[in-house]
Amino acid sequence: MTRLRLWGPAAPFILLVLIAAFGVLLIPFDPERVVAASNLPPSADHWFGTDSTGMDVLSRTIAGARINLTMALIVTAVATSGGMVLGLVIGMNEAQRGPLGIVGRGASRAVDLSDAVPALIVGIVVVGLFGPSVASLSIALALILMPNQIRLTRAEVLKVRHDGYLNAARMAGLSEVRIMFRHVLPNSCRPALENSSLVFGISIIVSASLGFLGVGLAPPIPEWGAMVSEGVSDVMLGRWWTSLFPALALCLAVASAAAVTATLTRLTRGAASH
Amino acid sequence: MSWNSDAYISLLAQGVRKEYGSRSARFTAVETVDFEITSASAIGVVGESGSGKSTLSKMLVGLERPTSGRITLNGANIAQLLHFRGGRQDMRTSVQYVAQDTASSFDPRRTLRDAVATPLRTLRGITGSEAEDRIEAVLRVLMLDPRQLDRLPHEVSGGQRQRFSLARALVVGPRILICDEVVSALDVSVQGSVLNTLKDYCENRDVGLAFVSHGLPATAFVTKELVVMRHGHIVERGETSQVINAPSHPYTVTLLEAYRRRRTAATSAAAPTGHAR
Amino acid sequence: MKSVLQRHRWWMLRTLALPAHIAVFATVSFFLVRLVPGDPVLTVLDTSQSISAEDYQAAATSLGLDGSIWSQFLAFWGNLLHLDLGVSRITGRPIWEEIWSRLPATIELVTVGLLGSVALGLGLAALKLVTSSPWVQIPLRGYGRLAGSIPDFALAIVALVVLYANLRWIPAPIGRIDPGMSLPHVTGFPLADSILTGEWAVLNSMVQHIALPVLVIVLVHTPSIWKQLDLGLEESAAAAPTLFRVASGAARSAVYLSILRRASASAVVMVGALFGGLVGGVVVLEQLFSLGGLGQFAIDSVDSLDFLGLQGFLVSIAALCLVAYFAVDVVNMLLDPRRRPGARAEG
Repeated sequence: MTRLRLWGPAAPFILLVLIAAFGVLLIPFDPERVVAASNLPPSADHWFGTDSTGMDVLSRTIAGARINLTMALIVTAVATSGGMVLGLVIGMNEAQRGPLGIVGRGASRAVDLSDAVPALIVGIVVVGLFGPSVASLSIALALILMPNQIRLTRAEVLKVRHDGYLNAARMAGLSEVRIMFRHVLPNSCRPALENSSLVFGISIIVSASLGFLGVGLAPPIPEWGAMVSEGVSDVMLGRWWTSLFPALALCLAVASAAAVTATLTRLTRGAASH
Repeated sequence: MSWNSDAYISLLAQGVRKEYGSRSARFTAVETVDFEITSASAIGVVGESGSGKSTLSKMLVGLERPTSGRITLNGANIAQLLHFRGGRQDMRTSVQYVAQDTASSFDPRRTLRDAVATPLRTLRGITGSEAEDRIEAVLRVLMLDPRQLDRLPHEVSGGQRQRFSLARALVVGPRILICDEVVSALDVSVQGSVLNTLKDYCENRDVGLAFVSHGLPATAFVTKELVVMRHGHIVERGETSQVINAPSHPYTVTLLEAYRRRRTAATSAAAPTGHAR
Repeated sequence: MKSVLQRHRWWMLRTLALPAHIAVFATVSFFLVRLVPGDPVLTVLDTSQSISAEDYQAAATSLGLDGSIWSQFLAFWGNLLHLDLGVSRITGRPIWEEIWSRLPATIELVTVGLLGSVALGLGLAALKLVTSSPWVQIPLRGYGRLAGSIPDFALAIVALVVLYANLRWIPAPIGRIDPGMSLPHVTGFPLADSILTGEWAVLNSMVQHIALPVLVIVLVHTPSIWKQLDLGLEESAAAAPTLFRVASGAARSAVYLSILRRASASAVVMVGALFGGLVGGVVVLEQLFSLGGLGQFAIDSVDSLDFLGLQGFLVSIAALCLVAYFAVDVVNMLLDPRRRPGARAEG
């Protein structure tokens, strides 16, 4: 497989990450302060115009990348690693008799049940109850997105748990815990890893949706969802630039995250066969 | 525990029974069986699929827990032995188990070297050049090329993989080896050579062998005693030659008959008589 | 008697499980409210003035937060079974009434969205079967990949900017109907009511206001079922039964129909999952387009720190989704006996 074919799909995402990391060094204005007259349409000075309080939309959009993406990254990391370990433990133990088996089966049911409520609803309730801090937002999202990773890993673990090399590892004197992490996990983590780019995309969408609904981080923090929400009333007055640019940024971010799936798939598949 | 290569080891199953299933659907795989294998045995366990022979062999090495009865290694209950690390090491260095080669006999992501070196490292603490020497020695006995060690499992043939499975078990120098259907999946031509290797190894090094299989001829070749299982019971046991030539249980008779008929059919189908069958 | 029970085990178990699952969510929401850091009672009271012990007690009782955890739990369940979810801080009306009055509008929107997504999915399926041009096939394949990747409100904004701000093809996103009109009320379902009462002007206005939200919902959520349907079509088109039909000279439409029938099995399962996504999407779009409904209630509760409102909201949405999944499950098991639990034990 050519390098281009492998890494090509990830290019937009890598670009996005670079913008999120270093963009703030390049922006023309402070994203959280009033820098000009309000409601200026896009011009040479303000490529994306200014919003109703006079802040520069371009600077805010680029600064927002860091905020939205950092949260999404943390959430994805926690949901994926936590999901893999829990899926591993549940999958290995749920068929046993005795207390471990009961807990495993119960946890399995709980994971299935957690599907019932849409992610956004849980986000609204948790943030509504615990306040819109980065911590509560991240925890809420990680909780929402972990069950799917658990489920994916668990399904794979159930396939792997009867493989012969596990018995061979037992005959080699390895403890059950060591066998789980040395043999079962590497052979069952692929679905969750491939899914992590989707998790990333969803966490961006949900956090932005919460921001849009006004339950996310408070202004003047430049979060894309909140920016779109503030700009809605502007749209009706014909001022399209305040909400269009963050909305487009959102769509692009999520689309590039989805595209990374192709690269992830090719990477993990390649690792299994060399 | 020091490794005494002349130690006599006895693995004894008493009144052992294995049941599966829930309250509504209970299935008994092994029905209250007594069985012993020692480091001086060469005993075969034959029976059809579902006779309980595989379950019995797994219980003997602790991979399955009996529903009732006990299994002891030189008097020590293996359930307790396997509970802690020292006991596990003692047991696994004395008794090893090899199963039929399948697509999942080896971790597909790790090399064959990793598979063979791991028991040596975990059970005997041997690494480095001493480990390399021992591994090469056992590979040579099993007629394997050490250069294949760096390959992945799917890159070698089924026959070679089965030998590597044996290598993995034998590298720690067990006193008893339990083989479960180790030649059943191999081509007939390959079966013969693996059986020969196995028989020579166990006889030359005084290793006790339990050979579990549904193939009578192969089992008869490598064993001195024979045990016949059916529906979880042991229906006959005795010297191999005696069981084969003078069976006492009607089921054994049927089993032998089936083999003879198959062999005759095979030979006459191959014979160039021109008769349609 | 026992064999009757055995045969009908599959749906009876599921029916019993439903209230149990709802109970789980009710319990979770109970504990969630009590996990809130700080003292929730203080949020209800006006802390700028001094608070007497009686005021505190009264506030605590109104929130259901007085007494030990155990007595609170019992009271919670006692009230729940009477459908008493407490009183809303914003309007002073019982929360159950608030939710119940807004539920139909939300359900209606979700249903319209669901039907639209299914219709679009079927349309795309027809398109896929009829042409083999890569100009059509490649975008079709790509559309499925977008599942879960489109932020609904972002798409809505883009569409608003184009269709409203620039082209004025749709009305302003400030409500369900034109200002000055009033909603007829028979069943509580807005569209149905306007049809039932023959208020065509209202219906017309309603349709215009709903057109864009429904369009956005359909475009955003169809990929979820389309992805499954697309996969299923590929498999079933190449499968033996199809080849058989073609070889035996069946009419083109008959062949397509049989391909579709076999392909839709996994898509039906997706509809259940789709429902959950739709509910979430609807909540956001209700806010954006000012359509009222359950989503608006939730946001208002958050803004005014109405914990009981949020509690009620969570339980209601959970109940709604669980009922929907139950319905999809039963339909699935009706269509395919192999999916019934315990079916393997027999025969």
